[in-house]
Amino acid sequence: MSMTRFPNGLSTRKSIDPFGAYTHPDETDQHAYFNDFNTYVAGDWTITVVGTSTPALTAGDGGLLAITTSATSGDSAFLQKTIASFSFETGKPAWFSARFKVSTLATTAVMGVQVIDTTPLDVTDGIYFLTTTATGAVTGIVRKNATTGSSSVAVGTLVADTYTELAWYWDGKDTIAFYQDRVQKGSITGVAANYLPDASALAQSFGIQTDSANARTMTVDYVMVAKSRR
Amino acid sequence: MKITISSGKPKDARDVTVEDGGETLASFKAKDLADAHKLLKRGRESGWDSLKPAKAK
Repeated sequence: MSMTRFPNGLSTRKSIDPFGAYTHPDETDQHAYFNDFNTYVAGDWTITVVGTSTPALTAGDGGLLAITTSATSGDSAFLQKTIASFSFETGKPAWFSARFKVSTLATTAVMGVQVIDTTPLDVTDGIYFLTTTATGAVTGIVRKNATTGSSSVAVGTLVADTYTELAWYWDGKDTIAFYQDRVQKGSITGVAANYLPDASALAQSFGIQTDSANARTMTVDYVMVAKSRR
Repeated sequence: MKITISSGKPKDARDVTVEDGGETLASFKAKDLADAHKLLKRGRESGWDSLKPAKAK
């Protein structure tokens, strides 16, 4: 396959824009975060642990962060980016993607963007994925209130010790689409009026709870969040 | 910041510690897991100095 080349540059701005002659797409078009976990700084995160757990990089291709719970049922470890730096609004699309695996399905895992809270499995605001213990069923959730402003959709299923990519897309209008391994599995409409998180700041959030008396591990390859500024 | 809650069944008393940059911001015993989360929410919203330890069952 031949490669398409743009030796003179590729722009996302009009010619009269200050960045009109900039030879790259304007990086300020989106507020974007991407962490491939080649490095990990604990101080960048609010870490809530029940029991004992110290998230740490682990050897493996791709840059991997391992979060291992201790071995009492209900023990957990959740990470939330500090300081929270995303909010959602109509007119500004947003994107999320993460690749991870859990060691077994006797766990509850969460992955997405949430308000900072010590109970990430049941937060009041967020757009995120939640897995069901034993079955591995994945649910996509968008909520601005845990009871009256929440909606969810079935997204797919985890397989034990197998990486999967979960992603969502807020179209900036009325719909959030949820994906597993690049395939759209479901969507939620009526988001702008009913469910879009209204907290002023939300954070990249993920973690795992063991649902048996065994230590369980979530291994995260990458997390990406972006929101349009325009 | 690292928040550590001791293991236990949901109704067990829990030891809770909040640390940031090597400094202990709060350390208290909650009467159960729900109480631990309630106190942590109060600490986050009102400041860790405002936390009053709850009595254990």
